[in-house]
Amino acid sequence: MELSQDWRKLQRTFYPAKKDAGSELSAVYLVHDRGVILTAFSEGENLSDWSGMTVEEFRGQFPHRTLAVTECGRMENWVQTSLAELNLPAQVERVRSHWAHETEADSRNQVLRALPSRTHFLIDALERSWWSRVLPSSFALLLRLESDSKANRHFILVYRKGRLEHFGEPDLTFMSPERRESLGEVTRYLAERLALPVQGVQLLEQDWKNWSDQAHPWKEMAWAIQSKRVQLVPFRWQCVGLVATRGLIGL
Amino acid sequence: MVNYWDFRPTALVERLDALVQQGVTELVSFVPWQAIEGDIQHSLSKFLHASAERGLAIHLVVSPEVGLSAPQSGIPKDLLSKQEGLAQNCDGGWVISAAAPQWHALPSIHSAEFQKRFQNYLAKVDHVLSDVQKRGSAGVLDRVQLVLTGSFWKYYRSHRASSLSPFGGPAGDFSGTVGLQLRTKIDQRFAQAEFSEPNPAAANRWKVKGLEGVNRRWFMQDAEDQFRARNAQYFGRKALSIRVNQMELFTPEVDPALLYSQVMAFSSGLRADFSRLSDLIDEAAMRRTEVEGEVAAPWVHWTANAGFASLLDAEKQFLVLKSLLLLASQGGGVFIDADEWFSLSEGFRRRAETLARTLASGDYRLRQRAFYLNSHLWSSGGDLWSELESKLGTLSRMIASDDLLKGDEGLDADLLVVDPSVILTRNRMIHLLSWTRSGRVTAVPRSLLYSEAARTELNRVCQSHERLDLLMGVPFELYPMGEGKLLVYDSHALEKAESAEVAGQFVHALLGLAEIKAPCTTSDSRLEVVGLERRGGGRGIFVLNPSARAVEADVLFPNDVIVGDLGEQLKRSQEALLSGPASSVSVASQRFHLAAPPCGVLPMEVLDSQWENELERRQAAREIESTQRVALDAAHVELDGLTEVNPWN
Repeated sequence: MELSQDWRKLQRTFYPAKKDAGSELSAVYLVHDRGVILTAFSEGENLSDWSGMTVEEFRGQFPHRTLAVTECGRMENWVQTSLAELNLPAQVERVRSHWAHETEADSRNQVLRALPSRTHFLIDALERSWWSRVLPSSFALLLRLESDSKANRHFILVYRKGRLEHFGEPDLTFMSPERRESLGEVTRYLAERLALPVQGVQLLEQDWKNWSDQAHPWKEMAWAIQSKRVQLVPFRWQCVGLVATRGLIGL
Repeated sequence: MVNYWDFRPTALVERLDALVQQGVTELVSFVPWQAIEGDIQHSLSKFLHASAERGLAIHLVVSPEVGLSAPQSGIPKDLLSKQEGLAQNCDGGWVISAAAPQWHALPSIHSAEFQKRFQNYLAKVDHVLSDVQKRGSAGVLDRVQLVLTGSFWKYYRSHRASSLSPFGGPAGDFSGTVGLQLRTKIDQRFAQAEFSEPNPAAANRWKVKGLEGVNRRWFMQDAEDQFRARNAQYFGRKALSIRVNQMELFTPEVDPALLYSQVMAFSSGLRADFSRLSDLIDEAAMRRTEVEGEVAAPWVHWTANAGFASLLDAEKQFLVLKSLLLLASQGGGVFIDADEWFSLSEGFRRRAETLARTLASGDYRLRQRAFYLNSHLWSSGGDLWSELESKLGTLSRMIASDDLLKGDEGLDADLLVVDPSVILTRNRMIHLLSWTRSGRVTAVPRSLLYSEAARTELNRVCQSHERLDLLMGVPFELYPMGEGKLLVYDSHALEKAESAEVAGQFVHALLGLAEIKAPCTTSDSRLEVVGLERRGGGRGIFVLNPSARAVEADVLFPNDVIVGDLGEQLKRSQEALLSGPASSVSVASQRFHLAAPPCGVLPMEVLDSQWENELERRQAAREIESTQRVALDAAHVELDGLTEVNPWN
């Protein structure tokens, strides 16, 4: 069975784990049942003693902490409706969206602060920007990350009907090692196998890591394309235009 | 843990080669339904051949489990597509597994569709393995073992109740499918002669609405026991020359107690709830299951698909060490994803392997001192269990079968508390009384849940012994029986009191009567202590600091003890470990000061002559009991007509 949704590699490629212990006063997430706290959660803190206490008691004790409070039935509903989504990124996004939109106005700001944007700049552009209106509804994006110290890594995102359907390392075992070296050959091979247009992007792993930490690294990326640090295979002016519009005009 | 279906055939061979080079000798892999039902490439067969060629021992988990990296944990999509086929918790909600690659609901094992598909799955596994045995290279299956686990049963719990207390509230599947099966089973059970005494109409008193909770608990436990027994029998009957192992596999990351924090962590991109994961290991260590009279060793599974992978290395290391200390010391252990394992430092891996080898050899054991007999292992044990758990921690064990009192397991414990929800039959009563007579303390409830024959048996014993009426939070009758003591406590008074303090006083009294005390305590409640008994005398005490800050505290022992550096000893060979003295020892004292680093585990070798003497005395009593039991068994076999012997009455 070929794994078509490789969450581990998606995380590793797009959301590398933070190795620091986090700040002292991070947001606190409370799930309650009629005001009684069921779960109190904050990164790196043990708040388990608060289970069974009331939300008001918690507020009284920590008046300056950012609190994201939600009722347990509501959260269970959000999770249950999210099960209809095809994959975990879409499920998580659905819960986040419910959480941000269905929270009462007086505490919505706190929730929005507590739910930091964790969308990667590239996924954000592909799924939630005007790009989605100009891109074909079905296509694949292949990243080739080059590194001096280790072998090149490939990662593919496959969109069908506007939704992320597959993600993971593509199966290139049927290609000879020589053909695998050529990104053009790899994109052609995948385009035939998937019956989709495939856009290959070759870049340095270090550049990718640096940009992944930023919300808007498009300008650097646009310059990198111009200086050929980033290569688009096949080269499409339309793709350069999309990156340049975001990077240089900011759209 | 390397799942063969995660890899394409060529990549799998490369992976196995790499693992062999890294010194791996044994692997575990799940065999999910989806993988086996659609295995047109014969991946399992290829995996077994490739592993055999490399001399790897393989453990194949063939029970449905959660937390797998396959879509929907490998459960066929059509089983999850119909709402009537999904399990429901006591709140009426679905039971959700919140792990990658997809969150999904759990199917109901009770549903006819599940049962049918599951039988097909077992047949397919059997077919593939038989095919490998017949047509594959010779000896391919020599180093293969099948692993049967407890499947989804333990996860059928309320997210709400479990968040307040990990195994709080009634567990079990409350879906519509279960209702009809429950009624049928109740009718069958109470049609037995024992429940129809003194007249057939008496059976109706067991079927009243007031006892629905009790009956549901019994039904859930019975359904789980039967499911496991049937699976064991399925592979037992087959001509396959593969050993079958029973395990109680627990994946804390997908436990209902963690759902809310897991969803919050996924949504906000934060690390998982480390403290809750740590608490869940204790829960896994404190529950004991058996399949057809044999103990299913407790194992924990750390995946790469959920909370564990998001933690800091220090937190991961803490969880691995804690799981090893609590589970490998009971014959179980830890399954960990290979990528996660090799992401940890080499120094840590070496230390953990040394510890695992030491524990697997049985040199150090975590002994249980008290049993709590509950009607359903995964349901709340009420106030008495909460108090026992808080006072004894991992020295207490919840069980759902009195068969566990028979074997070596039962020899260790000194106290048994019977939950008020347990239905007491004559056989069970005789068994409990026999266990009590050999120097143990047993507390049974004075409740309505006795069969007529069981009540007669209890009354007969009570009338033939001296009675003391006492009040320690709860009123109870105390009957000294030879070396042991029987307590009959008023369960209604306990229910009415609705106070943890009342239950606390009673449990305190029970522990005093059974002469059970914790091996040591700490002056800071953030620290945890795991006390292991060493074969040949002495103890290993491990002080664990699950907090993110360094903690300085005193460790307090009940007697004067000498403390040595166990960490230093563990580095030495096993032989030396057993015979050699502690490398650096302290002066005898009851109090030792220590500084535990964040997520630190501090091992200490403790020499306590008073404790040793006490242990020896207890072991001598147990051996006498064992000898007497052998004699009695022999008498039953040899002497026709001998149905019951109570020589110590």
